[in-house]
Amino acid sequence: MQSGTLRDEFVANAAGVSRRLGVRPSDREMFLQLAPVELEAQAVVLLRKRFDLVRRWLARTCRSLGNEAWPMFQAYSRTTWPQAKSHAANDAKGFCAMIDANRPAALCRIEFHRVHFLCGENRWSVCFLHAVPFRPGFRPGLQIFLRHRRGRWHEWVIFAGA
Amino acid sequence: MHLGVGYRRELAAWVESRPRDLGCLELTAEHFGECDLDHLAGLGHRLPVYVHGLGLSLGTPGPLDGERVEHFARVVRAANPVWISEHIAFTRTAEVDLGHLNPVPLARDAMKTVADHARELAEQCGKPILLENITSHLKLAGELTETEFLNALCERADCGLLLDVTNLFINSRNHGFDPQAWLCEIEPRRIRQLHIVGYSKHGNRYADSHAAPIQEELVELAQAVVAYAPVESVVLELDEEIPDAAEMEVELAKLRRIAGRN
Repeated sequence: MQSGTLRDEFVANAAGVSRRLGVRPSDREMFLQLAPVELEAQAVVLLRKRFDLVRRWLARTCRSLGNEAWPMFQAYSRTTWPQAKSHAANDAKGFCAMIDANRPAALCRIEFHRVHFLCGENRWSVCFLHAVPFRPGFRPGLQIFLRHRRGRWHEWVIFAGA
Repeated sequence: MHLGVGYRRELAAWVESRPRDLGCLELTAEHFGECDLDHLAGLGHRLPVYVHGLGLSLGTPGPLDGERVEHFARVVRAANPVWISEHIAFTRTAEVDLGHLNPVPLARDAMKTVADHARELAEQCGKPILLENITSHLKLAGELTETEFLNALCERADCGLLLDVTNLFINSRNHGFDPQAWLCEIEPRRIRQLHIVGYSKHGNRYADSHAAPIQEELVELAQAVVAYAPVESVVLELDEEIPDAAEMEVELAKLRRIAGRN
């Protein structure tokens, strides 16, 4: 269910996928009876859940992408599944990389730096921001992160005064 | 019969206003962190509560995830619920966290896995456990029918059933079966709690988005369950698009109709 490529292969050659995945003989009949339409529908439910979690980390970015956000996430997530325990932040980081390659203007750098920091192990980090939103317009600034024990962290954004 | 809601932060003010007939709260363990434990104790003193799990993955073979079980148990100790509940599902394998509920095969070995994990969780928490049916687009065949599976599971785990009426309705529409006939195959004494929330429709598929007002067909199906089984509690399970107090009152009125209080 985690791989769109495998689901496509299942449609073309279910028995081949069964062999490749090493499905137990006792489960083989059940596996071969899976309906591809249902399999895809269930996979979309899982992707939608992932997207809902990623959207919490990338709220501004997803707002900038508008209606493109979900199709882009589907394209990204079809062949990518985060392995780490901090699942959502890692997923957001992967999605950021895809947006950065395809629609860099839509990527909110504050969110980008945040998920990178969270997925890393550095005790602290300082990132330069070209344009911090500040009415009316934008200003250059710095984003500073500090990691405490037990996974807690703090973040500050400072920007040049008027 | 207690009528209640799944507690969400957005509902805190409404709960504080002590709405008429709000008689219980369901607390989802994964929604609370270490610093919320005092708050949980406060909620547990005010109304009967149930602690509900989303991610313990009872259907995954092998040991339960110790860290998650420990967190769940901490929430239980803080809230002191009447009972605890989890889904009949798996959310991860040894390698992959799928992040959402997936169906287990309707086979005896899968049933034993879920039942033994449920017993273990109940023992660790020192509370009775109810198991909940899920909705799934994927239908896994097996040696048992779904109702045979659920009856055998409740027997082996010595637990009750948390019947999600919305999930039953959605599955019946997506997989083409009669929910009333399904209900009559379940041992009535097992059904102790109901979950309900409106369904959504995407194209010709029904979905459980936990975001819509309860539809009339669901009220009718829930009334049929209440007439059939000794239900002790009905919980509205909204997660998205949580309405204002006036609309919550409309939903609570539907729960009253389900309970036969008008």
